[in-house]
Amino acid sequence: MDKRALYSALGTITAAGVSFGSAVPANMRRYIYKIKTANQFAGPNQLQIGHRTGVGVPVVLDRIEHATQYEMWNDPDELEEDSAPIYIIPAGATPYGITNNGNCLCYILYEDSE
Amino acid sequence: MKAALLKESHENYWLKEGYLLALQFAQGWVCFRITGWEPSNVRPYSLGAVAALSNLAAWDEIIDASARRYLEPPEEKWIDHAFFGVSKPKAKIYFQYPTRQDRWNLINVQRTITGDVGYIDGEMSPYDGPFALKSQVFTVHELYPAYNCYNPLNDAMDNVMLNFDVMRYSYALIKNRDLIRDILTLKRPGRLHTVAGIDPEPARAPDWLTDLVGDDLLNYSKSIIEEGS
Repeated sequence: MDKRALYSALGTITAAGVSFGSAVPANMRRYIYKIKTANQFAGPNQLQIGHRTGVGVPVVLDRIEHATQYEMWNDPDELEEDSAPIYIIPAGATPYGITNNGNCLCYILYEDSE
Repeated sequence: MKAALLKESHENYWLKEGYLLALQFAQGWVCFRITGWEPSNVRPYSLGAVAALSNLAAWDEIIDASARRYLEPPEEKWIDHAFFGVSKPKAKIYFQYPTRQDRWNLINVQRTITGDVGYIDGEMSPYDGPFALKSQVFTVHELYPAYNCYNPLNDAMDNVMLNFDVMRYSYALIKNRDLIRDILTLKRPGRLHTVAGIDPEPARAPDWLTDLVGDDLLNYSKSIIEEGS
């Protein structure tokens, strides 16, 4: 991981599903090193995080559970310089999320590289 | 990152007093003896923001606010020797030397400044070093390079910056034919360097330098390098 290569994206994920951030450039992969979520719904809310190419079928990479409103998920707590990425998104795809109830904020920190 | 750590420091390529240097120009080789040196640098040199999937509108000659070129010795008595690193890691830096002469084309058509051929990015030559040998440039008065940048990402680069490490040399021009022959045939340890590259040909030496050396010595140097004795 190179600090000068890092970018961030913030999405407001809905129950209808939403792509957020930019598409991954050709011949590269998006290495996501950090994710932070905050449940905005007044009750339990599951966030499915993944990626989607255009209007294709979304690919789910992970599910993050929130039991209560304003509950946050922060992974990892501390980002080490030699950290491995927690999610990898292929070229042409865009980060995508969908919830099973209401809105959820989702912040990611990533690097695009071959 | 691990690959970068294996590179030799560019500082090992600096020349010291007494070292012999031969620069190949289009007209022939010019031989120098280094008589003094002074280090300097330009850090950061900002190329500015580069939009997603875009390049700079104009080539940058690495200038100050008064358009004075950092990589061109202001006087004929000096030679500049520079290396650079790049921030951001994915910023692709393209090279013209002299200006308007595209370098690193690889195939027999001019490389684009949006493509995958002929560039240095911040992974090859990291901003904090070690700098790539490919970033090495020798300049003399009235001869200088220019750079452009392409952002291959779908996110804007807020500020692409270059970090130049520069060594300025004073020199004595070598006109002794025996010594020139020994340098060019590698019988005397010296640094031989082709200025700017070979495609389509090395950079042309400025008129002031060819006047100083003379056509006879330039032609002599070419015959030595071609015949090897």
